[in-house]
This record gives sequence, structure tokens and C-alpha cells, in this order.
Amino acid sequence: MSRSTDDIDHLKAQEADLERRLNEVRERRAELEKLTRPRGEKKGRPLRDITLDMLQEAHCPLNSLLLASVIRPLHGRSIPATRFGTLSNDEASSFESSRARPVYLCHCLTYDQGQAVKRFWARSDWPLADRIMGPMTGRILFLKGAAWTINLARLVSEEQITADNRDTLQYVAADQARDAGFPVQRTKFPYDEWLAMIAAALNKHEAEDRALREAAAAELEQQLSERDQLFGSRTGLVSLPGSRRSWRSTNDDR
Amino acid sequence: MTVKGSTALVRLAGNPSCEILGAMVMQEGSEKRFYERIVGEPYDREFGERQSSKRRGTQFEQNVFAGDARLLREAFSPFLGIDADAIIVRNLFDDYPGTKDDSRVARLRITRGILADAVVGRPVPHIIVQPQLLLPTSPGPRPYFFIAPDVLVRSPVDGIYLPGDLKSFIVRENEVAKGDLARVRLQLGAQVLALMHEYHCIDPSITVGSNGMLIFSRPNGLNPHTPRVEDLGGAVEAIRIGITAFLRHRQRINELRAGAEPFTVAADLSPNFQDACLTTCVMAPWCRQRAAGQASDMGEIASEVLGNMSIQHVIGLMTGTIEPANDHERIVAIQLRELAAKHNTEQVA
Repeated sequence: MSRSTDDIDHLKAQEADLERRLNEVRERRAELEKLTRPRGEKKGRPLRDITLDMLQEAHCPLNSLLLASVIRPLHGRSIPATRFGTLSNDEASSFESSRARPVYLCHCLTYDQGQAVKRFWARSDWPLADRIMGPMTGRILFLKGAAWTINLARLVSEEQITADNRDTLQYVAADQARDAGFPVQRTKFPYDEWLAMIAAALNKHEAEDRALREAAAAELEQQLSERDQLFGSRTGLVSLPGSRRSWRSTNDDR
Repeated sequence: MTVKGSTALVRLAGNPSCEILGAMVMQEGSEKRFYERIVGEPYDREFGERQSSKRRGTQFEQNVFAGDARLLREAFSPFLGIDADAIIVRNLFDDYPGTKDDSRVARLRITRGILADAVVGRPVPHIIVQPQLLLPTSPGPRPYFFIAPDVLVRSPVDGIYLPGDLKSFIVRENEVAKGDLARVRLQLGAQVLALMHEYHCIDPSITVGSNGMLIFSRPNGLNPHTPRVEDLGGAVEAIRIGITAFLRHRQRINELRAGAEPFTVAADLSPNFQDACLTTCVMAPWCRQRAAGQASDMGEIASEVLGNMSIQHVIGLMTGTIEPANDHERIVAIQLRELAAKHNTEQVA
């Protein structure tokens, strides 16, 4: 009886010792992982800097939806839809403050009234003509954004650059190709073929669009202040029902 | 279901006599919150649209609007008579994304600008994605409804925009169930009415037809079917009736509440319980309790035929223990006895 009690106590002591050693090993591993994980460093990088770099790489304005869908696999960060709205307000406030920055994130402007197209982001050091949205510019920027994404996925697959999740980035690129109307097959990523098709599609409208944007830029440069050339012309108030005595109900109007 | 925007108008059009619905539309906050404040306990039944339907709807919209609305351009190309590649699209969610009121107002301003440009002959897009309209209901609390069609498409015939709504229902051969169609037609009716209002503000002589477009999803792949042009004369009229009813309810509720919140006077309002309420309104069980023992408890057809009679009174007429008080009750008694006799015969057989 006493022998078996001794055995149990001995085993319990061994178990406790093993648990203590296991915890020590786990803690040590966690510390080493923290030191060696590059993602930790990237996660702390401001969205503003990431966006500026991406725009610089793409050489064209990018849609915030596309930016968010590429940042996730490339940098391992999920960007909530509202985050770009906050970024826009911060950037405009920063421009109006006394501390000047070498470059600002700004928006594309409509060709006729110079109003901000908030989903399309650009850099303040680009010529105004590159930030104007004409009637066909939306399609051209979509195609350019798609080409940039596909090229990124290609570079990652060739291991020229690294991505947090290369598989997801491949599928983001394939989504862009599908949205452009190109044939897409599961697990096949013919990047060069897609890029050639995008180049052909861009040729159709780009020259006409460029001419319209340059003409609009020349006019808007005369009309808009430096601030409005970045963040869009300020619009007048909208008259909503109830704001004036003359407003009547729909039924009265008929 | 919500009680905001065009959904509120669709519901008012479906049950214009219900003052409780009027109070729900006036009340700030959700429909469930309205229930909780009146009943005093949380709403614990199934509520709202199925998640799978929402996801399907969102996915359909994403597909259709992706790539400068490529699928939409292809779908509308025959209607517009222009090659899909030459169609100009403007997505107002690109200009000003978001669902808060300031975003809606910004999109409303852009939509109004485009409509005005179209009237004076300036270049405008063939398709406007996510435009914003509104329907005013005269000054006072809640003086307007925001109405947001999925698209506005410029008619190649007269240059007037037509509202269009995307529906991700699974339909074959572009045909949809009658019940579903009635609801979406009312929704389009509200959009047509809002568009009429906007054009009327620009130039009262412009005639906006009662037409709208429905774009259903194909069964496979969430691609759009050929858009269907719908004649919406009846739906527009139903929405007008709904708005008139809302104005009437609002006036009565305002008189009763004397500055307090609308839900505080719910007990003094007249509900109009219908069969359909059970699947569309959180207040249905509460309204049904108030109609307990009355003919309306058996649904709107019973209510229509029997009027304000109690169920006991109806049983009395049928069994002969109560003498009919007038011609209407006499006819009801005869018909009920005939039905009972037939029912008994069938049971014996």
C-alpha cells in the first residue's frame, strides 16, 4: 500500500516537472517567434504609408476596394471599409494644418466640376491630369488596377517579392481578370496572357480619355484652389424637404 | 424587414389602414426596438431577411457592378442600342460611398446634377449606379423618404432615366413568382414616384412614364438576365395611397402624442391586422391579440366579409342562437349555415 502511494507521489512530481519544462519551452518559442516574424513589423506600418507606396508602384489612381483586397494578402492586414473614410478626413485636416508634408494622399476629381471621387486615391505629387476622372476613366483605372494586381501576383509567384498569403493574392488577381471579362479557370493563372489582354483593352479608350483629362486639368487648375485640387471642390448645400417653407409633399406636387 | 426608405412605403402601400405601421415609420430606431418599447420585453422570434438571401443579393450586386459594371453594360446593351464597350457608367458609390445620411445627401446632389445636365443636353452617363432620390412628405417630423434605386438607365427614346432594381431571386426564363413580383413592383413604383418628383423640380413639363426595369439573376453564376421593362401604373398609385395614409396617420399620431415619442401612443392607435402581417411585421402578435375574438383575427378576408362582428356573434348566427339584426347579418347567417351543412355532409361521407 505504502509502495503504491510512493509511486503515485513520484509520478505526480514527474508530471509537475514535465509541465513546468513544457511551459518554459512554449514561452521560449513564443519569444523567438516574436523576434523572427517579419509580419509583426509590417502590421505596425501606417495605412497611409502603405497606400502611398502602392500608388507609387501602380503609377495610377487605385480604388479603395482594390487596395483593401490587395493589402490583406500582401501585408496580412484587414482594412475595414470605413478606414479609408477616416484616412481621407485625416489627410485633408493635415493639409490644412501648419505642418506641411512632402506628399499627400488625395482623391481623383470629376472632369466637369472638380468634385472628389472618394473611392479613387492618388498622390499629390502627380500632375492634375493624372487625377482627373472623365466618363471613361473609371474603366481605364479599373483595367490599370487589375493589371497592377495581376503583375503583383506574378512577381510573388516568381518569388521576386514576398506576400503574407500568396494563394489569396493569386485569387484576387484572378477575380480582377474575371471582372474584366477574361476567361478564368480554377487553379490556372496565366498572368502574361491576362496582362496582354488588358493592354489591348486599354488601347481602345486611353488616348481619347487622356486628351479629355488634360483639357479638364488645364481648366480646373485655373478654377480650383490648391486644397480643392487635392480634395475636391466644396459643394453647395442641398435643399432637403422641411428646410424651406415652400417644400410640399409628393402628393401636393402632383 | 425595415421601416425605412422605400421598404416603409411598400409596407404602407400594402396596409394603408394600419396606424401602428404609421407610428413605426415615424419612430426613430429599429422595428424590434419599437416592439420592445411597447411590449416591454425583447422580441425573441425570427426576424429579418435570411443571411443567405442577403449574401446572395450582395454577391449579385458585386458581380454586376464589377469591372465598370461590365455585366450590366452587356445586359443593357440591346436596350440602349449601343455596344457594351461604348456604354458610359457612373457609379455614385465611387464618388461618395457609405449609407449614412450625409453620404446619401451627397449622392442625391450628384444625381440631381446629372438629371439636370441630361435635361439641358449636356453629356451624361447611360447608366447611373447607386443613385439617390427622395420623396418629400411635406414639412414636419420625418418629412421625406430616401429612395435608392440600384440603377438609373437613360431611355434611348426620350432621354428620360428609368429606375432599375437588381433582384437576386432565382428565376428561370426571366419569370418570377407572382407574390415576389408584386413586392418588387411596389418598390419600383416608389422609385418612379421619386424620379417623377426630381424631374418635376427641374421642369414641371417633363413627363415621366410609369415604367421601371427589373434585372433578375440567372439561376447559375449570379449573372443578370435581360432587363424587363415593367408598366408600373398600379404600383405608383398604390404607393401614392400609402403616402396619403402615412400623412393621415402622422397627423393623428402628432395630435395624440403632443411631443412625446410615437410609440407612447400605440395603445390609442388602430391596428389593421392582416394575414400578411404575420410574415412581415414584428407587431403582428401584439395586433392579433388586440383583435382576439373579432372576425379580423381570422384574417383580412374574414374581416372584409364579417366586418366588426365578434366570433361568438358569428357562431350564434350560424347556430341560430342569435337572430340576424340586419340584411347583412341575415345573408352571413344563411351562407354560414350552408357551409356548415356542406361541411357536415362531407365529414359523414
